[in-house]
Amino acid sequence: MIESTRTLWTAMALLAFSCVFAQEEGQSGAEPAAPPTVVRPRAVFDFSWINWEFNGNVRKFKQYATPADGWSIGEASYLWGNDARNSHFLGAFRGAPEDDYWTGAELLLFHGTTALGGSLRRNKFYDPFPLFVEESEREVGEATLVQAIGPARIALRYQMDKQDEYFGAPKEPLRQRTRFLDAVLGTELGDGRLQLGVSERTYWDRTNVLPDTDVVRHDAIVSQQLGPRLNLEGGYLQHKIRVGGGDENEVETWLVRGDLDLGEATTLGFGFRYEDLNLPTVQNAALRKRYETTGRLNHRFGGGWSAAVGYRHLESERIRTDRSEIEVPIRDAWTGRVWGRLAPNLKLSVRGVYDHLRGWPTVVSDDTRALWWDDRASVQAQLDWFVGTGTVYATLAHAVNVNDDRDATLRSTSVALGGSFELTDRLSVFAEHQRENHRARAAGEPDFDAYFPGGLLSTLGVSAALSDQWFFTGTYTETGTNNSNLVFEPGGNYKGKYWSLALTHRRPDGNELMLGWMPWRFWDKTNPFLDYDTQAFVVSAKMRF
Amino acid sequence: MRLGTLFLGVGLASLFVGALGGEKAAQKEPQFPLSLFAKATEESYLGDDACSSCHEDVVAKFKLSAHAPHSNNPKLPVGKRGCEGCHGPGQFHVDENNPQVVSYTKMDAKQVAAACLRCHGDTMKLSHWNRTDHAQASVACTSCHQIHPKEADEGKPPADALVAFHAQPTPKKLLKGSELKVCGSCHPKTVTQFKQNSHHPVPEGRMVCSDCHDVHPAKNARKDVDAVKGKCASCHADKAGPFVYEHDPVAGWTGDGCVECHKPHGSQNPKLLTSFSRGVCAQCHTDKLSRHYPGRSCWSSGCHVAVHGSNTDPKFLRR
Repeated sequence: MIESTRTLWTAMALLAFSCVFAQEEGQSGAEPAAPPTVVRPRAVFDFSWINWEFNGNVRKFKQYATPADGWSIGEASYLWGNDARNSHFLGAFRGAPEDDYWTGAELLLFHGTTALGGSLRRNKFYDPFPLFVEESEREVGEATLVQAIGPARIALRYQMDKQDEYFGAPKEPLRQRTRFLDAVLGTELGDGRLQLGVSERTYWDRTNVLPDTDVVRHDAIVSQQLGPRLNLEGGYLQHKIRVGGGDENEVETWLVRGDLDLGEATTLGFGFRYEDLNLPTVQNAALRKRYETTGRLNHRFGGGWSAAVGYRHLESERIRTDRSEIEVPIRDAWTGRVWGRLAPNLKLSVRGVYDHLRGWPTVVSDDTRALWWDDRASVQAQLDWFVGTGTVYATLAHAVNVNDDRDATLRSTSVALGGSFELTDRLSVFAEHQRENHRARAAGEPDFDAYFPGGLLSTLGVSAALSDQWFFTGTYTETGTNNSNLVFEPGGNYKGKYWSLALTHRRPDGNELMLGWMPWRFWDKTNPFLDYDTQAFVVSAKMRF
Repeated sequence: MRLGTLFLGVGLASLFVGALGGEKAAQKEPQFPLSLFAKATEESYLGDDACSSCHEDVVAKFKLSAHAPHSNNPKLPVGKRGCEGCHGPGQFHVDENNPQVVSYTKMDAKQVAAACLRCHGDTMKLSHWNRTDHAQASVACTSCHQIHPKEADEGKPPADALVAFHAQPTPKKLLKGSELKVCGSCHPKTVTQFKQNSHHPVPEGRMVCSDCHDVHPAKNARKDVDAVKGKCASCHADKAGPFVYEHDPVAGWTGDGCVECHKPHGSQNPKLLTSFSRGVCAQCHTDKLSRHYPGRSCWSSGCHVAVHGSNTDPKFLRR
């Protein structure tokens, strides 16, 4: 079956190929071609032939998805808009039917008052494990209908998510199905908006380990502009969760939020959220109430500078495992941000957060010291420098987490330096380097720091117009860590080098032919069974009709 | 309760201030571009044919836009129909003494939003938009959306010249490109994080930014059906629970939930973890790092295989 499919594709590709280059031959000897003008075409057919020369661990290589191999469709799409302009259709297919693909269509009818959509996506991938693991597969199908009725709109959605995933031992496989059914009504209401919704998520575990779970959510959100300065929004959400044949769990949420203009340049945003949780399924410790209050004051100064200060208070009522007591952990977070221009071409943004946890729950394990970071502070500064036709950006971030009770501290620093430039009309480059380092300390645990490795990532790219019709693009990415990996676990010490180089010829009518080369290499210094080394040779053609 | 009272007080005070300002503002004229529509009469609108006499190419290409069927609905009020529904009355544009047009390349973000939300009030109102981070960073609707069909950059290299993973979704209608490209134009650092050894499969086309991030309310229904664990549970439903034995940081009772242990965009550690192997657990359970069954990670050693929650074991030794 696969062979016959491939043969069919080969024939189609050759047919399309010959059509394109028959046209080109007919034009040879004509006057020099004008620069191509490319308008979104009604039909696109983009196909590729890729040959992977592969050595190593295929499971690491296909960790997230299966790349195109052999003949594949980059895009086959058709766009239709009728002359009366009252309807519109777009259908597309990308990928290979035997491996990964995405296909979808959208149809607008009756001047867009009815919109129908559907998509189907299938991916095959692996758990990146040194030894043999069965191939995993995920398939997501979705259908939507959006119907406008005067100032209102009703949206319906059905989605089925099938996941069959296999892992390296000892993790057990997942064979799960999740179905979503949603209906949402949104409408203008006075000088505001009303939204009513009902959603259902049903979960089935085909391995019969986890219980079937059904979540039904009802929600109503109304917002109103009350005068020119105040906007208020109120909402109610109810979740009913049935786990297996057990008790019904219920979570009710009330929320009010809004914003108030205190002047031309100052806005106060505020919000309050209250959750009432009734979770009889949960036996060890559960919340029964949660309150959240937020406030944020924004002010725009002269000269393009702005500042914002914010506060968040989160208070929970948590029932102890033995049901003997209610504990009330409280988190307070203060935020601040200043942004503006140091010079017309130099933008600065600085923001900071301080988060404090108090009233933490009693710990019932053999070590009764508090388990949580009780102080978290972070600051980040970003500088954007606009130079001619380019931008340079630099970001410096530092965060400190402290657990006083355990005398533990984690300090994290990350730096990103990058930029993109259009050096000439025909040449542009980009580059970015990210580096992340951690310093961790915990009383009595000299090896604590070894489990917080740093990482670095560098990427750069160039795209050049060699002429009006010939283009070159190239990217290079390198990743790595400085992990000391005391436990010799796979996936911890690696280096990856990934090149993508392409030469494209674009014809005056917009059709393209591309030759590409992608050498990729991944080394795992701890477990060489995860290494792979591959290079792909690609020929692709894009035809527009 | 005391917080509720405080909040109620703030709310009532806000209402009072809002009401006080109401009368004053009612006398204010709307600002551009709404002012242009406000002063138009039915005669101010000349129709698409008039636009076509000078902008024939643009009008013809607009037919292929997903916006076209909506804006050419004859049931719409004349001020919301055709080219003039977005660009303002043609009569004002051809006025030789004071030509005026709603140009989306010349307006600031707030003006653009005011113009777009004349029709998109069923999705969100201007006040709602003003609350978003994008509005506060002066990111306009047209920074991400394009109403006219895109014309490729002439003489420039093709975008996505070489892609190994072809199973990519079609960008949502009226977006300027794939979400990775549109979002990445302002958030390049985040896009680069997807090149980390461990990442969510966005570059492979299995996910898009809006699967997790709400830039504004969507017309289609939402995916965050879970009450406690938010959007992560919409794909990772096996971790949603509620479990008989919940693990506090996962449930978010006392921390930030999933992001206590995972970096959602990309990480140098396997499984998007914030730290490596036993370090993830040891960031809270510091006493278990080297003295408690030393060896591989707490879950891959075959012991705590249900760290996200268990229905059978309070120490998460079984699912």
